[in-house]
Amino acid sequence: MTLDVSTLSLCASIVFMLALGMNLVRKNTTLIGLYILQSFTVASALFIMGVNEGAVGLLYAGLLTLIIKVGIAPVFLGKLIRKYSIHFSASSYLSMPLALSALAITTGFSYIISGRFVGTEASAIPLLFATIFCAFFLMINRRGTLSIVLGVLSLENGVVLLSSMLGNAHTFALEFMVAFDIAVWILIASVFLEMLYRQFGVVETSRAMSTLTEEE
Amino acid sequence: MLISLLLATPLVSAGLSALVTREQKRLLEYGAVLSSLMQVAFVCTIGFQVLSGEVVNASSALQADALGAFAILFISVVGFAAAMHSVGHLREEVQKGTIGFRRVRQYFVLYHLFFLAMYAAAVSASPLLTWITVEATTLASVFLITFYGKASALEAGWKFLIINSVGLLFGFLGSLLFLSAAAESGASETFITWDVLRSLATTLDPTLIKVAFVFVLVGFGTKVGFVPMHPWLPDAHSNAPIPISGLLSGVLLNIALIGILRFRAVADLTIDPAFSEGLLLGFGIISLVVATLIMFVQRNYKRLLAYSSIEHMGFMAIGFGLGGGGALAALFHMLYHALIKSVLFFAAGNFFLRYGTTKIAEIRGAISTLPVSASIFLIGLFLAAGLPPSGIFFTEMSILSSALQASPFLACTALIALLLAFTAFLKYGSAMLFSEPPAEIEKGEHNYWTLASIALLFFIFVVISIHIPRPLYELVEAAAAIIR
Repeated sequence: MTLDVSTLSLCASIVFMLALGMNLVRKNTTLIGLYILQSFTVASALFIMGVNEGAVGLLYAGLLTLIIKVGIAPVFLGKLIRKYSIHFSASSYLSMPLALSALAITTGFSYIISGRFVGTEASAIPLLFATIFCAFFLMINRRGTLSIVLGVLSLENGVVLLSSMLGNAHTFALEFMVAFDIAVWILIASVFLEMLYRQFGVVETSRAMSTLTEEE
Repeated sequence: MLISLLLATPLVSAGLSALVTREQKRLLEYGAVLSSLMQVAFVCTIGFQVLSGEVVNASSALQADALGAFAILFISVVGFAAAMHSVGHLREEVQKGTIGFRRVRQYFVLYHLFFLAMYAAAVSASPLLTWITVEATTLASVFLITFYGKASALEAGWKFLIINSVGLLFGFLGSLLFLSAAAESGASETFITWDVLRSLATTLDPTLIKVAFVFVLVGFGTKVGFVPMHPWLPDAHSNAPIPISGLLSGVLLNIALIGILRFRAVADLTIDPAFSEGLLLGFGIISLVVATLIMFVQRNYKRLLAYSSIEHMGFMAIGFGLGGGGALAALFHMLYHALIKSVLFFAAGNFFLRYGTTKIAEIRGAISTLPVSASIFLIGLFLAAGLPPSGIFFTEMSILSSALQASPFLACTALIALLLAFTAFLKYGSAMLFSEPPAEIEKGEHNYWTLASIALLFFIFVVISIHIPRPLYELVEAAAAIIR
């Protein structure tokens, strides 16, 4: 298999477009669907790089990504949506035109800070930095807790793919521990979503969370 | 072997605690105290071995150098006192009906796992493993913050989880960029340790290291509680059970700061040290000033102590930023702060048990209702603010004199902030302690577990303020050499 610029750039472009899409959709099931696609793209990219470079660590990383992010995480989050009928994510702080402008600015910023990267991955890296900032923007712009959780997970997708493209090959033990950390995080975040819903009856941070201010 | 034993002790304790039944509930308490005592013994042995020049490691992934040994030293000492305090504190909560056996069991399981993660973070030999274990401290402690299940605790836990996770993801990116720079420089190992990274430091790409260090500082700095990434900290510290608040403030913040210092030691060999110095001084002075100002408008004494921790972290960052004697003083400051802040939180915990509130306005006449706790709390406030003969006085003077040479403006700003923090402590401390107590509040102290924990840490603090034992000084000096 030949790994050329277009293969990596294509993967990075898909991951970036999906991160952008996550900022645009309102329906939670669609949000999860985009996250599954993004994780699947990340896993595929890891497999392709692993096979091409003969790096076993990347193959493990791809496999673990597939199991945890494409398999386990969506099941957990999907159950929550069905259980509490939270089919639509909450509103955002910025209107759509403003959000798009902010995303355009962060994407431009990504190209500025990654200008020094050279090599076969040079065109993919700014896109992955942009993915990271898009995911971060999703978290801070949305009121819905599910969007925030998916923002963290999408950000993590961007970081994993970026690090792999920058040439980080790790041992299986380390890959496993990173994946384990993330799996536990997903579990805890899902438990938190349940607890928040039981406590406040909504899963929207702005409406639910004013208790601390009152108790200060 | 010793590191394996150190890590196995809390792990086994957590497993055994999960199996304890209602009839055996005392096992949870005595198990925690015994386990913590064993950890102190292991840590002291590790410390002496490190001082004698031996390599103390469990594998290539876990290794205690002087900095790691120093960190696990204060984790274990504060941990032992926190275990004792937990026993007394939870017993009273159970008596009052606030919590039941299941919550107590849950508490001790998470308590041990929290320590496992902190020890592992302190002795991680690799940047990536450091990130994993620091993230693990977040995961292990989040349900301790939501322990009481109140709405505010849930909100605090959520903020803690999300803000720290995002921060640490940026830290993860920074760590990976460091590793990527090492790979570019020809590191052949797939498992890159701190030693490998340091040995390659002069050949790393300077621009990449600059970007990486910024991500690390913002990421791990979120966990340290640097302003402006701090919003999770006062909420989490004020909602967690008191022994956990003490651990979060006194111990956990330092673990993340040590992570930053390890990266900084590499970055300074690659790029001009003025870069990291400027960033640390910037975050340090902003954290110090902002936290001090917010301390003045506090209505909750746990939040007051939490903001005081941000203030101290900021001050330490200034010391570390200045380097040299400032870094040595900052390491001692870290130790003193870990001890005295835990004392303050534990003493405040006795106020909470007696008055049932964390609001400053509702605590009156504590000196007559809780004479021992209140006296130690008052003296502790003065000592934490840096009044002689507190060790903090000497570390603050040392850092300020270094700051004066570097920038008189910085030194003056820091000095004013420290004086303001002292004034805030005096204002709220006197209000809580010296007015007339409410008639319905019982007088006297009978909870010997909580008193013993406070007395132990207070005693250690006073002793090492007056005289630093030679081995301890050598250990801190060796630790300072690693981060200079």
